[in-house]
Parts: sequence; structure tokens; C-alpha cells
Amino acid sequence: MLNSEPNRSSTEAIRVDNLVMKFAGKSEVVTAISELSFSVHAREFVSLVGPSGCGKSTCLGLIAGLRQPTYGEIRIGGNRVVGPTHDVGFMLQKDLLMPWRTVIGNVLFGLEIQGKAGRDARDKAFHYLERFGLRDFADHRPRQLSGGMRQRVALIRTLLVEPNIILLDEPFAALDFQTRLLLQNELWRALLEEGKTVLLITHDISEALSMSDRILVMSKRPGRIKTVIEVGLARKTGSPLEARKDKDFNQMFSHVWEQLDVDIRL
Amino acid sequence: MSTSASDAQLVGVPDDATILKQRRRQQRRDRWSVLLMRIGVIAICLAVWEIAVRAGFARELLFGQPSRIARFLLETFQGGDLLKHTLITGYETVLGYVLGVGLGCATGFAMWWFPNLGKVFDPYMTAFNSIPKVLLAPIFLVWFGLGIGTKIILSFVTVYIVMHMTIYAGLREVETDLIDLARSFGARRKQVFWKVVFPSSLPWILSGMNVSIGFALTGAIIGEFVAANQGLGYLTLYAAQLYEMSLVWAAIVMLIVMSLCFYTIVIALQRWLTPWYSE
Repeated sequence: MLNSEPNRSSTEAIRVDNLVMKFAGKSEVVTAISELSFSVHAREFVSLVGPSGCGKSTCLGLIAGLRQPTYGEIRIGGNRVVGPTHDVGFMLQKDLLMPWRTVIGNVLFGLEIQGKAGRDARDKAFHYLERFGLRDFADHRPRQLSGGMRQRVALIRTLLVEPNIILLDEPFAALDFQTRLLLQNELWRALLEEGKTVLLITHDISEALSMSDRILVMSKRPGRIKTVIEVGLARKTGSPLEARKDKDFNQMFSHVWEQLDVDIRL
Repeated sequence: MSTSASDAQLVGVPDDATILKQRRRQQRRDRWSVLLMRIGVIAICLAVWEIAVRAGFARELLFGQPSRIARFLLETFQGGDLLKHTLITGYETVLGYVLGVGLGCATGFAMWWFPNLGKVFDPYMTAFNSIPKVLLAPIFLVWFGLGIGTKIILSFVTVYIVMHMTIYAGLREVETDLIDLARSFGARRKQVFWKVVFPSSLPWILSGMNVSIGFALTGAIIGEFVAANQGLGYLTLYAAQLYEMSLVWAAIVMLIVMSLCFYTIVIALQRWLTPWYSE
């Protein structure tokens, strides 16, 4: 299963159509997203890369159903998004662990909300903790953990509610470099093995290149898709770490860099 | 407890067990010396005071005298009046405090549940908070009479407004992304409240409760100052008018002991309910 191609002939997992998002300010209206359209296929790993403030995170909140767009629609597995659904899980830069809960309590939070935190859930939670090397920390509080461990806990919390689609909003940005590489690897493998559809938001080009099947480059605000770049390095080489060593990596990096509207003023 | 390989080649490097032992001994020594000095400070103050009165440098009539204060305090345990007054003040304080904390939490959280309610009442609450609660004493006196009711209400009002304001401020600190996270799992409003908002504001509630102890006592004492025939506030006022300064001091000591008891309880609550915060 590991190197299976995402099934592009099947229905799109995420479809974003002519999305517009405007916010009313004090006297003017800010257009965060304008006519944004793209789709993500089932089991595909897609990254959304763009300059800061191009509306990436706003877009993620809309896909998660937390807010309603000004115009346009989002479909998840063919169904129109009108509110949060169990089919979509997300993970942010902030781990959002609750300091008053232990690791196991945090991990079970989603299932508890859904009224599914029974014995089976606990067993499954421990299985995941074991897998991510956190078994011995089940009864620790979040502040006793390192940044990398905390993000692993956040990941397990997301995986336990079994969403088909996982939205990642710069989940590695707060980590040190080594931890980041390691966690990218772990997370990529876990999501691939579970057959998840992933949309990753990042401004780290190498992160996007090392993990994605496709990169969608967004323009400056109001953001729309400027270029789509086929990558698939991780799938080809077997892991994000190996992808970074691939001969095409540097060339692709320059390509993405050129597409990004980065103002360079010397 | 193991010595690392590089150390092993050096002579005279103390092993880990020795270093730990030394550190513990030092800590123990520090703790004892601080405790001894604390006792020493108060003992010297009391001794100077006692000697000054006995030698005639200070008049007992104006300053009181430690040995007489001690006698008043000892009588307390034989069923003296001091105990009765202390219990009255304690009763008023506890009742006002519990009511104030309870209602403060209720209305504070109601402001979260009905956001517009918060906007409506916020300026009134701020205005209410800004008046010295002493000014309300005459009004309550008229409404609730000379009994302990007035003192309880005064204590309650003071605690209530502090609790309400603290919780209202705390609610604004609740991480909105955390609420979004709960919603993404499908949480209903009630679940968001009990699983995110309430636990997030617990540290605020408890620190509000900590601050409120002083306010509860002040409310009760002020009530007793205004009009009363029992309680520590009444007793100190009465004793001072009779130039029985040692009794005034004894009453103050009782008040300190009482408030220390309250603080101990709230701090224990803090440790128990918000261990993630106070650790």
C-alpha cells in the first residue's frame, strides 16, 4: 500500500469552487480570498504554499466548516460543507493541548466530544501512543513534554476520530529543525498508511516539496491558485527525508521559489 | 549515581551521590536558618514591646502589652467573649464569601453564554466595581437592619463584583482556536462550555477566590463598624474606646488566624483543582 498512487479517477475528496471570503473592517472590506478553486483527490497529499497573508489559513477554516464563505462552495466527498463534519480533522501550529488534561485525556478529547470514549477507544489510543513512542507519557501533563512530543499528541488526537481528510496548518513551524524533519517523516508515513487525504498549508517550500504529491502555489492577497506543480518525490523515494536527497529536489525548489511572489528588497 | 567515563580518569572528583547529599544538606540548613530567623524577628519585636511597657517607656493604655494580649487569647480557649466575636465575624464572612463566589461565577459565565448580555452589563459592572463598597453600608443598614444580615450582604456584594469581573476578564483569555478545535469534533455549545471554557477559566476563578478572602473580611468588618453589638469589628472599636489596647490587638490576632485558615483552604483548593497551573 505504501507507494500506491492516489486514486485520481475517483471522486474528489475536497472540491473548492469559486471561493470568496471578505471580512468587513471598520470602514473597508478586506478580501482574503478571491475566486479560489482547486480540488484534492482521495488519498492525495497536497500542499498549499503562498506568501504570508494570502488567505491560506482562512481557507483551511472554511474547509473545516468553522466559518462560512462569502461566496462559492466547498464540497467534501461530494457533500456541501455547511458546518464542522467528522470527516475532516485539523492540526495547527499551536498544538492546542489542554494543560488540565493528561496526555491520554488530550488524545481522547475528540472521541469524548462525540460520545465514543469507551474502552475500545482507550485501547486504540494506547496503540497510537505506543506507535509514536509516547506510551510511557500517557499520564504526563502536556507541559512536561517537548514540542515534538506535544505535536505527536495533537496528531493522535486528530487521527483517533478517524477523519478521511486531514488539514494541516503549519504543524511543524514551531519545532526545531531536527524535530521538524523527524516529525514530517513520521506524520507522512502515518497518514499514508491510513490512506488519508491531506491538505498541508505551509510557507516552507522544502517542507511542501518533501511531503506532497502536488503543490498549489497561491498568489498574494487576495489569494488564488497561481501554479500547480506535480511533485510526488516522497512517494517515489519512500519518505520525505529521502525526498530531500532526490536529484530533482533543488531544481523544483527554485521553480516553486520563482512562482512565489516574494518581495526581495536589498 | 554513575560516574561517567571521562570523570573516572580524574582523581578527587566527587561522585554524584556526594554532590546530591551536599546539596540536600545545604537546602536543609537554609530552611532551618530562615525559620529560626523568622521566629527570632517576631520574638525580638514582642520582647522589646513588653520591656518598653514594663519599664514605663510606653503606656499600656495606648500601646497594649504582649503578655496581656496573650492572656486575652488564652481566655479564648476557656470560652471567652473573644471566641464568640470571632465566630460571628467568621460566620458573616463565610456566608458572604460563598454567596458572592457562587453568584459571581453564575453571572460571569452567563456573560459568555449570552454575549450580548455581557455587552449590556459591562459598563454598569465597571461602574459598580469603582465605588468603594463602604458607601453602600448605610443603605444596607436601612434595608437589612442592625443584625448580621447587613454584614453578610456587604461582604457578599464586595466578593460578588470581584468574582464577576475576574471571570469576565478570564473568559476573554480562553483560546479561540481551542473552541474551534472542540467545534471541529462536533461539540455543542454546552460541551464547549464544560470541556473548554470552564476548565480554562478555573485558574481565574481560584485566583479571584484568593483575592476575595480579603474583601469578604473587609465587608463583614465594615458592616460591624457601622452598627453592631457583636463581631470582631465591633469588639476592636469598643475596646479602643475603652483604651483596652491589648484586647484590640488580641482581636486583630484572631482575625489574622482566621484569614490564614481561609487562605490555607483556598490554596489547597487551588492545588487540587488546578494542579497544572500552580505547579
